[in-house]
This record gives sequence, C-alpha cells and structure tokens, in this order.
Amino acid sequence: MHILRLVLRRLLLALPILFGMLLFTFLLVRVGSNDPVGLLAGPTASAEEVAAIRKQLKLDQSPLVQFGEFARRVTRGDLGQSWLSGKPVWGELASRLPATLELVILGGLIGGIAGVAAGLRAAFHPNGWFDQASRVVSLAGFGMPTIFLGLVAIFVFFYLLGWAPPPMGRIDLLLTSPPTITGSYAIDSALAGDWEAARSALARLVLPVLCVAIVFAAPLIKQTRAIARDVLASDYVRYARAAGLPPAVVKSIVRRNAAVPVLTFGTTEFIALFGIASVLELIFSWGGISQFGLVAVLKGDFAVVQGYVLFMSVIAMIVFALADAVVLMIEPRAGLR
Amino acid sequence: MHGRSGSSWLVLTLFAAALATAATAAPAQSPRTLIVAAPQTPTGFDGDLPKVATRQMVTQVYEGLVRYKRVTGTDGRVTLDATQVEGHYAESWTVSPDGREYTFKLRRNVKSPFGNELTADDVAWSLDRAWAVKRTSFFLYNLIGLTKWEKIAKYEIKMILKAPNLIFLPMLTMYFPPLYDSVQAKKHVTTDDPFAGKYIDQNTVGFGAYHLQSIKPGEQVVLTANPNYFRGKPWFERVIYREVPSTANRVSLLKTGQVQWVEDLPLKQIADLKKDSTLKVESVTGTQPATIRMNPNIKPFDDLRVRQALVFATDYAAMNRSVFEGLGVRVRSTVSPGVPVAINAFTGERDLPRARALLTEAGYPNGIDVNLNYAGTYWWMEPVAIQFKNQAAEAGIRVNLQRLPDPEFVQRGLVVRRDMALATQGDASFVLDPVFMVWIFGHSMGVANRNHYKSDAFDKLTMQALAETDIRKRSDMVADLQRMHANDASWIMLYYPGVHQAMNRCISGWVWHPDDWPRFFDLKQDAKCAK
Repeated sequence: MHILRLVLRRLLLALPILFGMLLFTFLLVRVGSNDPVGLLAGPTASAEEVAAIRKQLKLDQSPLVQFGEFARRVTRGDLGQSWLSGKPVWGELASRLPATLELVILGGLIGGIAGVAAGLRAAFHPNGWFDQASRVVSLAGFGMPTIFLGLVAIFVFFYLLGWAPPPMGRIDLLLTSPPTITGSYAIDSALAGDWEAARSALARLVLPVLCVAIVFAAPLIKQTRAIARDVLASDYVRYARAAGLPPAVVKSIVRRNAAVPVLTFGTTEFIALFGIASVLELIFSWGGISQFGLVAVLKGDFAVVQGYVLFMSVIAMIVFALADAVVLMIEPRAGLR
Repeated sequence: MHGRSGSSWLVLTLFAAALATAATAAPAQSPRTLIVAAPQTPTGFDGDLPKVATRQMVTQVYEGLVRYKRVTGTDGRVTLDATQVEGHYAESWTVSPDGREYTFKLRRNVKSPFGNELTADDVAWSLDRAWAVKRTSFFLYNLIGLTKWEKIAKYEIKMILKAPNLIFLPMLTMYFPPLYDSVQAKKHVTTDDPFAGKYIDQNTVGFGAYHLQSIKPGEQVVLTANPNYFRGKPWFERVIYREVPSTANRVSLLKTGQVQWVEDLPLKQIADLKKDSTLKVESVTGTQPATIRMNPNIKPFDDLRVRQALVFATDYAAMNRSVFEGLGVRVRSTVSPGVPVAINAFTGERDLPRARALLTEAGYPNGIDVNLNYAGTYWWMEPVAIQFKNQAAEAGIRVNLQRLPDPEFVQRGLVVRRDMALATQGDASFVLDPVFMVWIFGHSMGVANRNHYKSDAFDKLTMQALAETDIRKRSDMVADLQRMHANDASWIMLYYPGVHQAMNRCISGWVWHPDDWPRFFDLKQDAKCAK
C-alpha cells in the first residue's frame, strides 16, 4: 500500500512536467517556420487549397487557441496526423512500440545482468586481470559510437562470416508475422506454435540485442564498480570485516547497499536506451518507435516528433515511477526521505 | 560472488550461442519473388494524393491509356522513344479535325484483380474523382485545358480540350490520372467520402500488373501479380518491398544476394558497385537536373550580373568529380538530353575574372554575402552546397549555408510561396516533351519553377508553344525558350546525377521511365539463377 501511494505521488508530481512537455512540443512545431501545410497540400497546390488546409488545421487561429486545441486533443489521446503519411500519430507510435520494447528490454536485461555482475566482480578484485579487462570493455563500449558498433557487427557477423541473418527487420521476409499477443515476434510466434517463425524472430534479435546490451553494460560496469568500491571503503563494511564476518556475508552487505544507487543510475541509462536504440533500429531495419522518431526528425515531420517526445516522456515517467517502487522495496527508508 | 557473476556470464554465453544457432537457418526464397530493399515503405497508395514512397507503388498498379513506344537498341536494351506514343489501355484513338477532341477506343479484357473489366465508366469516374480531389491530376490536366469528358460507348470515351495541345497525349503516358476499377472502388463510397478516398489510400484498385497484398507500416509491402493482367502474368509473381533505411545495409544485402533490387543509392556506392562484376548497375541520364536556382525577384538576384557572377564562379568539372563521382551529365538547358529539341543553351565554364568583374559592375567590388538554402530531399544537395560555398568564395561570393527541414524546404518552393533567394533544387519531368519541360521549369506558374523565374516574353512564347501543332514551328519556339531561360541565368546548371539502378546480375529487362521508377512487370530473372 505504501509503495502504491509512492508511485501515485510520483505520477501526480509528473503532471506539471507533462504540461511543460506539452508546451515544449507545441512550441517545437511552431518555432522555425515548420509549417505542415506545404507538405499536406503537395507541390501543385493553389493558394486557395493552402488556405483551406490551414483553416482545417486551425493554423489560422492565435497560438493560444491553437495550444488549447492541441492540449484538448492530447488529453483525448489524439496526437494529430503525420505530415508525411497523413496517418494518426498515436496509431503509428503504438504499433511500433512493441518492436522497441522487445529490443530495449532484452538488451537492457542482458546488459544489466552482465554490467552489474562485471562491475561487482571488478570491485571485489581491484586491479586484477578481470578488473583490467572490464575497464577495457567498458571504455570500448563508451567510446565506440553506437552506429559504428552496429555496422561493424553486421559487417563481421552477417557479411563476412555469414553467421547472422540479414539486417532486414524482425522476421524473415517470407514468413508471416504472428498474431499480436505480447508484441514480441519471438514470443508470439512460439505461443502460436509457429516454431519456424519463432526461430527466425529469435535469430534476428541476436545482433541488435547484443549491441544494446554492450551499450547498456559499458557505463554500468564502471558505475557499479565505483559504487561498490565506495561501499567497501565505508565504516560499516570495515566494521563487518573487523567483526570477523565471513567474506560471503560482507559481499552480501556490499551488494545490498550498492543496489539503490546502481538501480537509480541504471534506470537513467535505461531511459537513454530508447534514444540509443533509434540508431540501431535504423541500421537493423527494425521498424520500432525509436527509428520512427529518428526518421521523423531527419525528414522534418514535426507532428510525429511532437507525438514521439510526448510519448517517450510518459514512458520515462512510468519507468522512473516503477524504479522508485523497486527502490522502496529494497530500501524502505527511501520513502521517508 | 565470484561464482554468481561467473554464472551470469555462462547464461549470457549460452543465450548468445542459442541465438546464433537459430540464426543459421533461413527459409528458402521463392524464385518468383522479387525482393527490393528501399529506404522507406509506402504510407499511402493514392496516386493523386501521394505520400511517402507512394509513387513507387502506384506505378506498378495504375497505367495509362497510352504509353511511349518501346525501342530495342543494338545492345538489346529497351528504351522509350520520346517521339512516339502508342496505345496501352486504349487500343486506338482519333483526333477531331480541330485537334480538340480525342476519342479513345478502349482495349477489351483489361481486367483488375477483382475481375472487373476496364470500361469508359471507369475512365470517366477516375477523371471525376481527379476533379473532385483537385490535386496533381486536376492541376496538370486542367492547366493544359482538359475541360470535358463523356462516355460514347461501353469501350469508348471522348476527352475535350479547350484548344489543341500536343502535350496531351504524352501526358496520358503517366500513371495519373490513376485509372481506377470504379466497380470495386464504389463499394467503399460513403456520404462523407464520395470517391472512396480512405479505401484508395490504403488499397489498390487498378488494372495494372500488380496489386497490394499486404502492408506492415515501416517494415514491408507485398505486391502480388494481377492474375487478370491483359499483358499476361509478370515473371515475378510477388514483390516484397522491404524497408532498409541504412544505405550500407542495402548494399550489403545486394552483395550477399539477400535482395535482388536496391533503390536509392548515393553515387559513391553506385561507383563502387559498378566495379563489382557479381552485380549489375544500369544507368541512364534521366530528367532530373541538379541545379542551384536564384530567385530573380529577390535582391541581389534581381540583378542579372549578380546571377551571371554566380554562374561563372562555379567550377563545374570539380563539382562533377567531387559530388557526382564523374558520372554526371552537364545540364545545358531546361530540356533534358535525349528529349527532342534539347539544345546546348548554356555552354559556359568557370571564369573567375569574369565573375569578379560582373560583381564589380553590379556594385559589389568587395564581394557579396548570400544565403544558400538546401535540404535532404536529394542526397546530392548537401555536398553540392558545400562545394559551391568553397568555389564561390574564390570569386568573392561569401555563401552562408542554411540547411532547412525537408517539409519547410518543400513548402518554400511551392508555387504559392517561392521565397528562397538561392537554393539547391532538383525536379524531374515525368513527360518526355520539350514544351512540357520548359513549361514546368520556366513558366511563371510552372509547378517546378521553384525560383520564380518570371519573364512575360517567356510566358507568352510558352503558351504559344503549348498550343502550336506545327512540329517545326513548335521546335523553333522550344529552342528559343531554352536560350531565353539560359540567358536570364536564374539557374546554375550543374549535372544530371543520372538514374542508376543496382540489381542482382541475374535480373534483366529494366526499362527506364521518366518518373524514374521501374515497372516490376518488365523484370525477369535469368533461368540459370532461378534454379
């Protein structure tokens, strides 16, 4: 009950932030003479046609009236229409979300487990071979641009070695995608009993998921190590050691005390993964929401950019609220702060 | 802890190994399936209201009453003869003595995939629809004076023009106005949507070689052969049009044989692929000139000497080497090479002293500052802008580059706006007719006259050429028009980047069309490769 109250409080606190985002995204479209009318009207439009579309979109009214209309529509889940496709932005975003979630959750899970485990081990054995190796891995993950990582992975594992399937989306071209249950092609195909499709979908997850995992694990290794070293140097751990507690118990104390800052850091990094995923989705032709947002930015489809920013803001708030709930479960005193 | 982190690594390794094992198996490809890798999948299928990548699809579905005659060259390649139009959906046609009335006799047994036969009702409904939605088809055909159409018989339709116009037939080779299966379309008509706009936007109802089977937004579109197509079944029974945004990946997929056809590659990749003997790249000049255009209504480009200074400050040869990989064909006028009466209206080269002298004469002895707008609508726009900035600096022209978002750039080039002083532009002409080209590029209301070039004499002569039926007089007029436009120096005529089609070496039959999109019906796969 306490946790539920905290989550609700967090979500309530998010309302002013959402309003700010609403205003920001509204201005995003209006700043820099980004006008959809030209695109919607087409290159052969007459002045009358342009005026009619402007009126239809209510762009002939004052910015205040326009903002009121925009806010009203958003509260009803109407994020407007894409300037390029003419389709409802909400539908476009919602249909692409599962692809991104599949990639980011799997990559985050693998990267998170590997990153935290490696960081802890490096902290417990400082300056050993594993610590040195993990530093190199972490540095490489940090330093290598995501697009380069993805392209190198494709070049080596698909083009040179032929181990990976072609970077052409989430399932083989000649197979039928499964009926949507969870949104994950691999899981949904398995649930539908289509094992060939499930295997194909799973195979196509390998490279992009590992890329996401590497990108996520790199900062996590470094941060986990630093946090765990701080905990190891704390008075209570020194006391535990001096009291003669077995090393396994001491490590358990360290893990428990490092968990909250690591989780907080990991949550921030996890949110950032949605942005990072955009580049990977683009080069793996993934068709996810992040790729959609990136293409909209590149093509100047600001109606989609506006919807994407709002959509991602809401997702970020939900993830942060959930992370707070987990923190509270690990450390009940956090709710008193 | 040691043991636990070791387990994590073990789990990770096992997971990766399992996935890698799964990766090795892939279903066999059907030999009659063409897989195309394209930067984007279509979001709409209404040819009159095109959205992203709509044209790539509607060109497979909607065809014209007439078409350009095919000519087979000595090398076996088929090209279009811009001087001759032959029947397609129309078996034949007659023209009234005053040149205003065209009566088309429709071919029998032209059927849509729904089994409905093309009749005069379909043509009339399609034109009615074009006039109702008032977009591309309406704009073009209304401008050339199509005022009326009437059904004469089940397979006969008459179209009436305000005045004789030789562009009319070549224009009908285009895929618009799209000719719809009105029997099928009418099933989706509502009071609010009397021309089935919603249905036509997300479905195909043509009589062409293919029709839409399925669409997964952002992933792929599948086209399947029209079983009733009047020219027989295409070689490829199915076309999978797959979205692969990364250029590098499209190249890799072609090289590894995962796809047979790749769209929209920059010239750098094309130049590399041309050296690869395992692939095939076919090229034509096309009709899309890469240009930098100056708006003569905006200072300082209202001064002819300033415009000429920019023209002579440009290093054309260097531009071709650095941007167009040496594959470009120089633009010499508003009419594309290969189209009848295309002349070398502009033959100038770089002349820096002359450029500086022209600037001094125009009152800019210390040089001039200008803003150059460009966008990402064509791959060459940014490299051209950067090259031009460096080249112009040597003549004292200080260019400030301003990249605009694509929608803003498109909008600012619309006939109703045209407020960019200096911008990179590239428009293709879908009709291989010289009058059509001078009209769209140079007439003050031309749809591709994005720099608002305006000359009363040019407009008057263009309108005369549009109405002229005497071929010789018409040709003389077109030559004069090209010279007038070049002399007024509102374009920096750079290069035709060309249309370069990369494909698997087993594919043959590609025929270039003026809209630059292939017709998948033309393509075949070598029998040896199909095994």
